[in-house]
Amino acid sequence: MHTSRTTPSGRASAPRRGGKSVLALLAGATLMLSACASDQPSEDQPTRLRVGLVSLSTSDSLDPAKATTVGGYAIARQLFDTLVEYGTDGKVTNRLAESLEPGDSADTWTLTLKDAKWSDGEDVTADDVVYTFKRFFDEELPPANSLPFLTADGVEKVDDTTVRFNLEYPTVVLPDALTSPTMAIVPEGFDPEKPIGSGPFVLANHDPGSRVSFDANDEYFQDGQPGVDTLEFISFPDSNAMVNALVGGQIDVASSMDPSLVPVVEAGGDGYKVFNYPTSGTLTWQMNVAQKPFDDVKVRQALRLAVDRQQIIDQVYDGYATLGNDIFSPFDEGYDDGLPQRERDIEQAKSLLAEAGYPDGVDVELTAAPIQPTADRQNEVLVQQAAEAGFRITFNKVDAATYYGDAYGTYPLSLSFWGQLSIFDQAAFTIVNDAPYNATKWQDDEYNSLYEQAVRTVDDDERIDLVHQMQRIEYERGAYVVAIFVDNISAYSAKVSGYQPYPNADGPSGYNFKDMTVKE
Amino acid sequence: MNTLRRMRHDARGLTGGALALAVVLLALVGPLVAPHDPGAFVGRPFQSPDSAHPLGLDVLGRDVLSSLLSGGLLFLAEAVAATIIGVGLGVLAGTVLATLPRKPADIALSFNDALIVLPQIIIALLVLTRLGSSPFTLIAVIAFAHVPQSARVVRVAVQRVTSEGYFEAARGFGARWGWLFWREIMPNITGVVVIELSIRLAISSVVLATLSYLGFGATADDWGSMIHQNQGGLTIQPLAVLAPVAALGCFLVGANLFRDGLSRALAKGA
Amino acid sequence: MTTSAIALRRAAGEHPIARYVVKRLIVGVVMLAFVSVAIFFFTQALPGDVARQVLGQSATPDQIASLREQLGLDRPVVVQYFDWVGGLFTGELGRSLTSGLPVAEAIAPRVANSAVLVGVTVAILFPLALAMGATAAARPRGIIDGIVTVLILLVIALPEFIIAILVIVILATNVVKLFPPTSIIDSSQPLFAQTDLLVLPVLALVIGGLPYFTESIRTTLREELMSEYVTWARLTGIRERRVLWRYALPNGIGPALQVAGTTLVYLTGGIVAVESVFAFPGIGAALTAAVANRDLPTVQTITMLMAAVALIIYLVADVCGILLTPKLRSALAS
Repeated sequence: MHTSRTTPSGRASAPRRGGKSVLALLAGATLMLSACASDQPSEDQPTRLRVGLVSLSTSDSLDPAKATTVGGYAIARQLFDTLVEYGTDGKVTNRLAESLEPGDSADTWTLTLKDAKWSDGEDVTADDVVYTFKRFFDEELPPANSLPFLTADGVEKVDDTTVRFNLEYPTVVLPDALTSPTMAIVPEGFDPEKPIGSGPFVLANHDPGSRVSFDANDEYFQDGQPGVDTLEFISFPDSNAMVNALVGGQIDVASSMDPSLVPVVEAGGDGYKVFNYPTSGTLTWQMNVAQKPFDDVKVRQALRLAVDRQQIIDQVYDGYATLGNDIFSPFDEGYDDGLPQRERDIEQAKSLLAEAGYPDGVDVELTAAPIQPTADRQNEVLVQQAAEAGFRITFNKVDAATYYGDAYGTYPLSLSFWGQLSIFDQAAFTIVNDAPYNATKWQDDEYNSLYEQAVRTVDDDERIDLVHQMQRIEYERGAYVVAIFVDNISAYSAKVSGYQPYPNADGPSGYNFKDMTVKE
Repeated sequence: MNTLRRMRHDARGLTGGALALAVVLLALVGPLVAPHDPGAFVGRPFQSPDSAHPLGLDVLGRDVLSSLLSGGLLFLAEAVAATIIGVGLGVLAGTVLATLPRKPADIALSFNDALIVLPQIIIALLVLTRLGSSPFTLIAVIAFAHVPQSARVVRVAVQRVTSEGYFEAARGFGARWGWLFWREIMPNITGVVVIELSIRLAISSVVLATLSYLGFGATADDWGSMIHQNQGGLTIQPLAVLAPVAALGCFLVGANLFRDGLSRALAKGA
Repeated sequence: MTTSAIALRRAAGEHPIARYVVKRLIVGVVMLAFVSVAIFFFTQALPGDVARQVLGQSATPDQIASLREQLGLDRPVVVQYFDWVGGLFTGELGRSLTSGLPVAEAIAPRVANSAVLVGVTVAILFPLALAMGATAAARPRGIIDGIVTVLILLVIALPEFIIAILVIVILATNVVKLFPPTSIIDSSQPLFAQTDLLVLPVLALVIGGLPYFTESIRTTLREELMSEYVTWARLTGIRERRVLWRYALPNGIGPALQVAGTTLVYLTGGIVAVESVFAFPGIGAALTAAVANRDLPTVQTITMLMAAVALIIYLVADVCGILLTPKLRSALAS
């Protein structure tokens, strides 16, 4: 168990009420034991927010740059800040950055910092920012992979609050790339064992894989935040247990829950609220063009036509999803919503299959893991829907470790979760030349050159026009079936308020628990 | 056959047999009489029962009654296959254990006990993670779990036979092993084997359901996957989970009653 | 190992029961060796590996290779095996591949939680089953006997996870909200301050284990009550209660202990499903998470631990059975 410094949990600015329930009293008592708050007046209970997550893992990293798990991301969002983030409108907004502006040609960007402090009281300076980025490259940390246009030497301190990024080539994707929680700014000489950050909370206790608790960071730069004195993450193996715990009063938030459990929360009485908002996250089918039958664009289009998107939304998501049109990133300003919505057309799917040389239908193996609560169900529905068009799909269910093992990329048809990325990042990760996670193997020269051009185009209208051309190619001959975008659904105890949608950010409300307050 | 005749007046045993048989018949005939295609989406997820769907709908909005009727055959077939294979191998192993010379028998018995000590559910989880869940792998892991246990039980029964004079005599005449096994051993351990089969069948069904619950079931639509998929809705549409559980329960209760009757009949005959 | 075995045998001398225990211990160690090989090579054969799990979807092949090297996963499997077995003897169980903590330290709280769960269950289950079984045996066709029969029929048809879910629905979420529905134990607080979290899982395990145990006690005692020496005791005018407690029970203890052993082993296995329903942070949950993460040292250690515990339970049940049963004690001595 890692225990870091604790700070006094009482904060003058936070609104507090006397606890009424036995639970709250107990909670107060335990808090006083864990924090050094014995001198607090007893009627003035600290507020706490208990959040259920599916699931924490023993591999959750306290180093934001190494975060790869739900828990790792969730922890990073509490302890640290990124320079910019995807805000409540899904667009890039400033967080630690006061401004992040391109020069005339977008090959240099200038960052100025807000007046923020580390949890040990020191100022957040340009040196820290430079250190953070140099560390990515020197230690070859995963964020370096997402910054192909930057080198260690390209990050330059101008003065204490100003940093210049000198890019290898002009590009407008820098701000999007910096939204990931793995890009969080850490102080010079950062030690993950004692994670000092500028974020809304500081670490109080970490029991890997089951529980993480935080105290409010008194030094946090956003006034009035965080809204609670303590925050606790509690791990659940699945949504069922998490929803039970919410209804049983053991947690205040059941985060990112399975949509089929919404009626369970509703049946639990009026002490709970379900909050949902559309996101850019999608469980997308990947058609491998390196193998038959998806080497033929007609077969790919046939499968896209065989899918009944509305039926998936109704049956799998109980309405808590939005229509997809085989292209990614609906909250990106370049998303082309002028493309005609693809509708199910069995006759056309059948004739495309016949044209491709499969008049009697075709056998396909689908490999997938239960990476999201709805994944198995979405696959089952596909198997049924596609059968009507002549796809005889056998569903090979494996566990996640097997799925992402050595065979990843060799499956003829598979299901992955993507989203919370800009169109350019999505393309860089999964579509263009040498994209590291392109399980479809699809390559299109025209698409690739459009991408290279668009990434370097600073003029908004010009760039968006190029992006639309990219998306039309994906729409007409790409290898992903983007049938739906999932809603984020979280259920809250009625005493919690302040949660907002963050449609382009990972996790429940982008893991922005700093926004939330609790009234007993 | 005498045993069965003795059971004729055992009301409890007969009721049990009838109950178990009824569930088997339901599973056999079910697919033919299901009111809907069990895969068809006919309404909202977890919709409550109404006249068209007396057991309501499941997590994907499919008719629970139709799934119940269609999903029993595979489930029971898997349980029965795992039981027959497991107990069958257990009989062979038990016979070998009982008839080996003392030293090798001791070693073999320790080996068998080592298998018993292995936490079976963990082995099952590991094997299913390694090989993937299919009816075939499910049958294999459950059957494997039965072998050492059945072998122990059968060994004792066979030892009782082999220590009898007539067996020694037959062996003395130079009778072949195959002949001894089928003519001398098997007829005398039938009762033990039948009881072992019925105990193991109950365990097979419970283990199959538990593995499904833990998410290690095959993707095929059967009672196990019904329990797994619909568990979250237990508080709002309990029938989606309880219907397959009740069917399974009737089968197990029936099989248990029948087994008890059988034991009583065998005891009387002995 | 063999020299110490000989020494043990000498120390045990010719005392028959000591000799029996020593023999069982030696067999047990050999069995564990066999089990360790089986567990190790089987877990090694799992597809996918921890390097990918830790680094996530976005790892490059170089990063995966270097992490594998760092974790020692690139060494020959046989070398890894002997490393691990050596560790079992020295207590160096290796480090969890995911958290980096020593395995023993990482799983100790989980083991403790599960041990408490099983311990409390046993403390309730065994006396209850013994009392019910004995009463049912003493008065065939009495009320208790009838209740036991019906209970067995009902519960035996319900897998434990169903019992657990029903217990939650009835006592925690839908019917009445008496107890917390999930057992989210806070490891930073002492367990005795969170006993309310244990109520439902213990209840589910007791209900699940009761029928088999009670039935076994009832059957055993009934056989003893019908035996010749009990009949003789009755004929000499000894009262029924005394017959039960002084004659039938002592000789029934051996078989009952066997059943208790089996029940205990079954409980250690059965908690996997029950822990999952209650989100109980025990050994079952730790194991399923470790399998999912391909944290092989943790998987191997937990599996070995459970095998060793099962072995010891069987051994203790057998030895106590012999020591406590007059018939067997004299048989072994002669």
